[in-house]
Amino acid sequence: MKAAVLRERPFEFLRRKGSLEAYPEQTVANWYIARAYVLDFLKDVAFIPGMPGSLHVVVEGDSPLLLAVVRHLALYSHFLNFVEYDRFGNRVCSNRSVITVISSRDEAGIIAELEKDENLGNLLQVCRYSVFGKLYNEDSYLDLEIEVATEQGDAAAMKITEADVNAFVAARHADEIFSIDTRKALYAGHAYVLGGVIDNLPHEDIFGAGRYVQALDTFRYLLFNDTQDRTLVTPAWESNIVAVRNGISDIMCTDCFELREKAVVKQYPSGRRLSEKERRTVWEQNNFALSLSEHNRWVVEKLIMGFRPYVASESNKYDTLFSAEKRAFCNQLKKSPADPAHLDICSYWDLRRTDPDNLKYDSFLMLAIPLILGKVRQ
Amino acid sequence: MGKNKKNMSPDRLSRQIWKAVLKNWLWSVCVVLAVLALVFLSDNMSDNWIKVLKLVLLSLCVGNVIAVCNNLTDINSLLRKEHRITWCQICVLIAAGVWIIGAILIVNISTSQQLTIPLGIAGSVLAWIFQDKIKGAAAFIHYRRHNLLNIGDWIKVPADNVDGVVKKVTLTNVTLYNWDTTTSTIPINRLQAEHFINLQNMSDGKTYGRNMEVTFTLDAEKIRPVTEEELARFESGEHDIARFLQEEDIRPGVLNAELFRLYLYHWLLNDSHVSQLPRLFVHWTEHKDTGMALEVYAFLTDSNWSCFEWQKSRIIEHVMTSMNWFDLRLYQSPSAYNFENMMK
Repeated sequence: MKAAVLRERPFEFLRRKGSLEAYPEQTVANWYIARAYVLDFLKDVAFIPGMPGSLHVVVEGDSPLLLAVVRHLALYSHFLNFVEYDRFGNRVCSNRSVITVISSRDEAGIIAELEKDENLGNLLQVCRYSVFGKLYNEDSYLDLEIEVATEQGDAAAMKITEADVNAFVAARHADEIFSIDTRKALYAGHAYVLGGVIDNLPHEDIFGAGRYVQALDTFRYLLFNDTQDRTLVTPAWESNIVAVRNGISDIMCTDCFELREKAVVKQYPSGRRLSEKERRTVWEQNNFALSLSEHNRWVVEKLIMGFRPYVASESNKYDTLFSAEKRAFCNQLKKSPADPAHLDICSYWDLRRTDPDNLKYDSFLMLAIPLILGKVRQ
Repeated sequence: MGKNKKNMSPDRLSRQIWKAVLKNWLWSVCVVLAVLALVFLSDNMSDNWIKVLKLVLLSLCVGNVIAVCNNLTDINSLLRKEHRITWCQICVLIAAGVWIIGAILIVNISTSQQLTIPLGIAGSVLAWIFQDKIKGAAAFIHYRRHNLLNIGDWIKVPADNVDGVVKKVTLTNVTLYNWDTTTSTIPINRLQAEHFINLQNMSDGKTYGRNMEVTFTLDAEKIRPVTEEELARFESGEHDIARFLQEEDIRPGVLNAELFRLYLYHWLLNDSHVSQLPRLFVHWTEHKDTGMALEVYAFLTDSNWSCFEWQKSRIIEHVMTSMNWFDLRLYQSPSAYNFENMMK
């Protein structure tokens, strides 16, 4: 059953942290342009698990438009070959994506610019980055590295200039850039809700794909029956910043689906048409790498959207609370309009250690990608 | 058992079966002889002798199938082909069933009224004698169907004091290689009657972690409120203690034992090898003659045995080190050496 294509303009609802003040029109336009450009730029990039190498992009300039491009590169450059821990249990964090920004500002100036709400928000609190050779957050767990330099060092890196972005905009119809097909985001929302209600998953294999088989069948049934033309943007978005954050989060999450599919499809055995079961097996084999990359993407997105990790005093307080009090404390920090903090902004390894029940959201959603893409392509 | 690598190739089932049949060539020869006897000599035989011959032939055929299946089970156990092992054992079960049904049909109970009662009694007696085997077959199917027992699994059977790795599973027995390098064979139905623990998923790191329970007995004499000077030292960042405590915990009058418990709890929560779930406790148990017992109940993410013991030792060492920072001491029963020193 076919659902109608929905094109919406959700970024108009973005608000500055701690207020309901909207961003200037040009900033919002940059969100759309950067999103469309970066998705097009990365469309042929695919790293499969175990593959050496990483993405290195040089952004030649620090104009608002190019910093928006940097933001979206940070949001979407999460690939399946990132290794957080090796098989001996040593933390390696290899194959990070590297984004180099060429800037003529001074150190304080460029850091202040990057840390603005409309650029990278709180990302620099956690992400490994260097400014003119000075390295910060060396041991970051994220699969991303930002580098600020006066000139590019890596001749082999992919380059982006403002002229490239402008040429991309000029060559496309405005609707293609300034509105978004939100069907995938709506279906991802379904999957997220379903992930929330499946709370008695078998504990035998917490990283295994087998535990989601029943839930995936239910999700397939839900998708099959979904024909309503619902919109992602609802009237609640006018006043509820949490609804806006969640909706935009779904969009950013689903924007990466095709990139992930490309990496998985690369591993399909060639030469014959695969059965659905065989295709599903390949997705299941990639479940850990997919979930790890999704968690890292989610952490970057949350940091960019203004969330921060718990500080030591909050962690200590959280650790001494129990049941309902614990949940209330967590929600209070998460929903704080001025300075939201999220417990799960941590490495995937730590998530497995501190909140393993939440592993299901990433894993389930990743296994649902072929179903969601299949539905959208019908 | 097939020693030829080619014949053990997991992809060549037909070759494996042929090899297993040839290994039991004597059975096969007997089957052929029985068939020939039945074909060429049956004209000169009485009905009863023909029935006997048919029974012998049936028994030889079934015996041959069982022998072949057991050979294949051995080969597939080496190759860890779990499904093939299950099917081989199911074939053994079916062969046994075929023998019983065949024997009944050959004897033809419906026309041999005088055999009905003896056969009924014999059947009951046999069922009673082989009840363990019958239960074993049911247990085998249950465990294999639900993937509860596989080659290579680490299992414990507390009732039999068995603790080792499964090497072979058949319709009736499970063979284990114990950690002390001995071998145990236990009837499979015993696993169902007594409970057994399968630790393989835990050992493979597929669960939240591996349980660590350690109790430290603290000398009660050393428990006292912390001094102002100690509070100042903690607040100044000595040994990084303040990082693991809340500001309100470091207060005048607080017991050193309480601060130590809170410190240890937060330290464990922040340790990258300790899982916070399913549960993590650092708690006092009842006071004993020997002192106050502080129990650490945690799950370590390193569930492989050696890694687990390594991390466990590291944690115990940290507990012993950090105890001194709070001026606490482990209880140690006085030894002859202590008394000797006292007497001097």
